Amino acid sequence: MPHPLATKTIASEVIIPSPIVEVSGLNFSFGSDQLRQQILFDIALEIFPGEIVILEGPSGSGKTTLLTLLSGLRTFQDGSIKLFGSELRGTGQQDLVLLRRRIGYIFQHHNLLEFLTARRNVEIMFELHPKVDRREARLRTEEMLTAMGLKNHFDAFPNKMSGGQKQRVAIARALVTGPDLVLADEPTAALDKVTGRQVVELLQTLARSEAIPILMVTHDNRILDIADRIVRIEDGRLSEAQSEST
Amino acid sequence: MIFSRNSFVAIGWSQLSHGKTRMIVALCGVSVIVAMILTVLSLKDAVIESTLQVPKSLKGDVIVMSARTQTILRPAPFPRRFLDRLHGIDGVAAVSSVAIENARWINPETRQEHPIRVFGLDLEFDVIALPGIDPGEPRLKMKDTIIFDASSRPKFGPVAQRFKSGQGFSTEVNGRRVDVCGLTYAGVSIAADGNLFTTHANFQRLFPNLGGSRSHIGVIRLKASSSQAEVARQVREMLGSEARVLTRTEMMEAEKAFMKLNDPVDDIMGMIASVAFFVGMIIVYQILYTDVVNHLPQFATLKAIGFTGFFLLGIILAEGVILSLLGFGPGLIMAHGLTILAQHATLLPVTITLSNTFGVLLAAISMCVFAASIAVRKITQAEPASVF
Repeated sequence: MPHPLATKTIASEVIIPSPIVEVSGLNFSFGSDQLRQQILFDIALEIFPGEIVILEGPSGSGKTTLLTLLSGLRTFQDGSIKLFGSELRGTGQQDLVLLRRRIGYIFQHHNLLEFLTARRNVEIMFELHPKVDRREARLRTEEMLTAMGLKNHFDAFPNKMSGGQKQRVAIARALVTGPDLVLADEPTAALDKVTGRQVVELLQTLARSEAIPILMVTHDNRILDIADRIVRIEDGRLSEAQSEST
Repeated sequence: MIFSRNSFVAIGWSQLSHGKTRMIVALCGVSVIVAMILTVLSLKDAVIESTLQVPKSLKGDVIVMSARTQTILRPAPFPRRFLDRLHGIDGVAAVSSVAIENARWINPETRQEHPIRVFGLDLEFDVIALPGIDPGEPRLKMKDTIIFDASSRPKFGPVAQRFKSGQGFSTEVNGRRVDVCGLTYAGVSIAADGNLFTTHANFQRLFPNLGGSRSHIGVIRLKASSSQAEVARQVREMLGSEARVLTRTEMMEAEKAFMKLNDPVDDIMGMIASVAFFVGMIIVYQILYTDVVNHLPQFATLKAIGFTGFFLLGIILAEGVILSLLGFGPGLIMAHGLTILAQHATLLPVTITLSNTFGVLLAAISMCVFAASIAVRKITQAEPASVF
């Protein structure tokens, strides 16, 4: 399929940007020998800058496993995953940690540190990016929280916030350092319809303005329309489900 | 950077102070342990110190003992004429002797007999600096009078109470009637449960068979300009291998070393302090461990988003160090209170030394850091792949 950004031309020359995520021939199994159970079969997937890709599929189909593999949280032997152009297979733990710092994560559960305020839960991310000075870190944190509609909750502790507010803090945390890729695992699962919608729209706006590609795992039919592309995974096999232009 | 707003130290502090009650409980634990260790160490020093009271109070620059004497508290006798020859040495201002023997003291209340240490002193020479031993005290020069060590064990009878209330106190020592004419505080030791001080003349009356020619400790005072080491060398030369000649400092060191080696109190107190250290570690471990376990999903999240194990380790270690530092202050204050109580109760010279204070501070920090480093092992179980 033609990539949406591939239509941008410079002097009538078609520029195809290199993919941020490039998975090919990926097989993955849990266990070994007789207990071996293959989860993923011959996965191939490419995600380009600025793309929002939704990954859907029934539970147990291998979605989460694929996400953990993409984030370098599991090691694999068969196939290839290239993240920002570097191969994950055989990469050492320390380099994996460095790669992970370029990814913004949004989890099903917000997992905020309940002893830190909203502001500090977000600002803590700059500990991973010590080159950003403290004033700028503070500024960007406040901007991000404001963008998430949390202007009045900078100094609130998580237990004083609603589920939607907490999830928005978590999204601010994922985006504040300007990641090169966002991986979101059912970001709306814990939210009601209205807040769920708000959250993904915020995500969409921010992703569009910063050209950050997003891979989102979801069951939620109500948010499928924000995707550029939907891929479906079933019994460990990936297939292109439908295509939608924005 | 480690003190910035989101450093592991700051995060550790936030985590610790978020649960106020829990932190206060932990701090109480640390404080009590600090107070306990510091008090026990001070008591230990006090016990050692108290047994050294007598040697310490000898007012001399060079000390002469028999070569067979291991500790000044249990000295072997030597002929007193040895000391007479020392006047010839240049730099020697005065020489005196102390005689020490065990006598039988009868507790007039129970009629039981207890061995007591008797010191025969030359009062003209002012040989010993102890409270209540005043060379000018006229009653001391009378026949059969003694000064009783009020820090002696209670089995000798209610001597101090009766003397203080003005009733006076007399009893039998070595079958001879003596009157208590004063009280002093010399301290008990492994060598003696109680002490008496008297003049050489009275000492001879108590031990008539010894003939008065024996001495146990020679005390040499020097002229202002002369060197202790030099005089000690000359004395050694003059007396030969029969004598053990030490400068005052050498004598104190030798006595301390002897006490440490021979007094079980050192080991017992040390053991109590170690147990307290261990209990403290368990308290801190429990607190920090619950902290880690309760936050395992969050720690796993931090790991997944790119924080290193070191950062998480730093958080918990920082909590440990903060606990030890904050708990130390109140513990120190408690220990001061406890030692004042202990001093009143035991009459021992219990004081908190600077070196013990720093030692216990270090112990408290290492206690908490050690506990934290055990608690932190649980963090390795925070599996980042599980957060999806």
